[in-house]
Amino acid sequence: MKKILIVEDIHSIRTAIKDVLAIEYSAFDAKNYSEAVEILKSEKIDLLITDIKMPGKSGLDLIRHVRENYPDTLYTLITAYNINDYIKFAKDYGVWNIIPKYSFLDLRFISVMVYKLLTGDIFGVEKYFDKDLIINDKNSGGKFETPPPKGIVFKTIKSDKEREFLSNRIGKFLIEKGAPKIINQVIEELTSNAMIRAPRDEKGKSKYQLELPARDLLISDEKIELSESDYFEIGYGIYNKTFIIVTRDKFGSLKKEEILNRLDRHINIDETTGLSPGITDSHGRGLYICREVSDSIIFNIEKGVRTEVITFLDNNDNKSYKSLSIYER
Amino acid sequence: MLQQNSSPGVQLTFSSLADEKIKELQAIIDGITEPLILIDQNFDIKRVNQATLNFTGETAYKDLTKQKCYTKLYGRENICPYCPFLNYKVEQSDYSDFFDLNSFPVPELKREVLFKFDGKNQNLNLSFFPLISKDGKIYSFVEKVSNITKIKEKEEENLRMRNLASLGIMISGVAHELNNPLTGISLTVQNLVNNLSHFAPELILNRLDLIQKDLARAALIVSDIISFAKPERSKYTLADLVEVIYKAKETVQRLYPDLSKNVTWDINADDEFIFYFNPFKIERLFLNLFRNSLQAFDYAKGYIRVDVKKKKNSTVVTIEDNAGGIPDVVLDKIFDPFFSNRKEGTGTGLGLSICHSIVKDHNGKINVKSTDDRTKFSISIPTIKSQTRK
Repeated sequence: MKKILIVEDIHSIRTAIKDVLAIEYSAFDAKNYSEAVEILKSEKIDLLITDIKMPGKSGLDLIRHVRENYPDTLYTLITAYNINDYIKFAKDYGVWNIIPKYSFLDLRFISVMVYKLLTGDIFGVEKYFDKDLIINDKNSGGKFETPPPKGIVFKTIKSDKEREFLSNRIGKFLIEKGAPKIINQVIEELTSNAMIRAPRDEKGKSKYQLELPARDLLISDEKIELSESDYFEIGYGIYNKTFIIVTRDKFGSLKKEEILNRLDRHINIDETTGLSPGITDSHGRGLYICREVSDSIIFNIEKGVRTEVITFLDNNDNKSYKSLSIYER
Repeated sequence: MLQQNSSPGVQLTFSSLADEKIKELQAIIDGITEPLILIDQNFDIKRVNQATLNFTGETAYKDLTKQKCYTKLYGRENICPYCPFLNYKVEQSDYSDFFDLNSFPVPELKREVLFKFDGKNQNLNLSFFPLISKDGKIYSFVEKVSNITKIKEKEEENLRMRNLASLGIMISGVAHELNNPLTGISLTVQNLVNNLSHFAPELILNRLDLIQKDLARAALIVSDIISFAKPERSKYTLADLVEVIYKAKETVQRLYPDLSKNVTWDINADDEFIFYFNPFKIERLFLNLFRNSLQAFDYAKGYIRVDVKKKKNSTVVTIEDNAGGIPDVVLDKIFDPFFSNRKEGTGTGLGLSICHSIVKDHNGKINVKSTDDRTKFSISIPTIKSQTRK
């Protein structure tokens, strides 16, 4: 049985997480750094979940300790503070998952994260919902299709023309159902990522955009017709009050370091200019905007095989609490 | 020969050289954009500048000279009630009430007044500079009128902005402080719903107790805010101060079991302390002080020592801890509302400010000393033995 250690100073939060995880794993808990260090000595912990700000030494200190002494132990963070403040740390310490502590946090989000990290079974939007979520994966043609209530429909996209047509129809449909208008931007960013930026040849060169590294520029081709091996899928639907957009490509060319890099360039402010370094170009701005406007954005990547990007938009205005969810296999 | 001077409203009988000097002087005072008035001991205007004409709405200097200053400048029939020379007597020889004539330069006298003109109330700052004769008598004075309305407005605006900023800091602190227990309650409820069928009753009771504790924390934050926003007069009852201190200690130990684990308590009282005070507020006072101490310890080992002593008409409680002390730079700010030395976003910054107002409400005193790693709060409150206060 896999062993999990939860470190959190608030008794009720710690106990709730432990109770849920104890159903399937051997769960340990500690209320501060020193207690955690003791448990780590006696138990071979597979996954550490730690709060960041605790009395005494912080969760970041604990991660440094684990990285140094227990290289096989996986680690993730939970925090009640703005996760954006920790993107830099995440980048430096290879933290790919941070869960926000707030009153609308679904405990399932934690158990799904734990399952994905421990099993490597990372793909699939259905993990985040009850069993009654319907997924229509039949993929009939490029026409728009209304998703089943409490369900998602997947569509294959083969060209710029299809992307434009479907994006418009999906956006219109979801907005009619009450999604925020900004969902159009999410669709635009996710589909352009899957269509223009994801396809690479064996040498890792972009297939549908011109790269001018000397001038730090990317110019996408016009009127793209994807070759059959490069088709990607978009999934869309509504489950209760959650609007769902998923893209799946066959490349797995998005790198997790790259995601943090891109986010970091837009979140962190250059101290001399007062601006984020990302403001002068367009690298990563789309990704940053997607994360800002959605409630959750989850990246699932199998290197060189496939990438799945899942976004959830709720209408509950909890925009200040965002997870960092990047899974790679 | 009497000669009418061309511009200033003062009649002169000097030579043309003196006349030239007078013109120069007038040009200089006209160059000052604030009203400047030379007034004699009978409150008659002797000389004014151009700005005074604008201020009074007159067009010629002669319309002002030899007129009473209070009439022409402020439209009054009698000497202005705030005038520093209100009680001035011509025959008076001791001016120490007005000015310290021995100091040089003679300090100016200032009055800040509200005066309505241009259709609205304006803030005027009036400065008075005395002219002293050889025999040490004030024979006239210069009044300068500065309109500080804009500066005042700016100041008020700044104060409002500062208050708003403090409010913002407090709100984000409150939001964060409430977020923790709310998250705890939310996750515990989810947990109970998921596990209701197979949890043993005592396990369920234990989880419910966790909710109860989170609720107590949230309630404490809310009552902090309420008592800050709406301080009420205390209701005094006969109570045992030492008992109240023990109660506060037990409450913080219950709320912060981990933080208080390494802290030893030492409560000493040299007598019985049963008198009239508000036991709820006083418990709150000690609760806040103890909580601050515990949070300062941050799991470290240490002691909290409480001494209760009788003074003549008051009871003095000292609370000392060795949790690290308070830096000098913040020591004078700790009783300010919204001030918090903790990490950004934690705490409401109201704790010690509430302590301060509770003590004040009991007509008592609170002060703080900090040396090395020790902090010592002393609270003195009157020992009221009979209920006289309404």
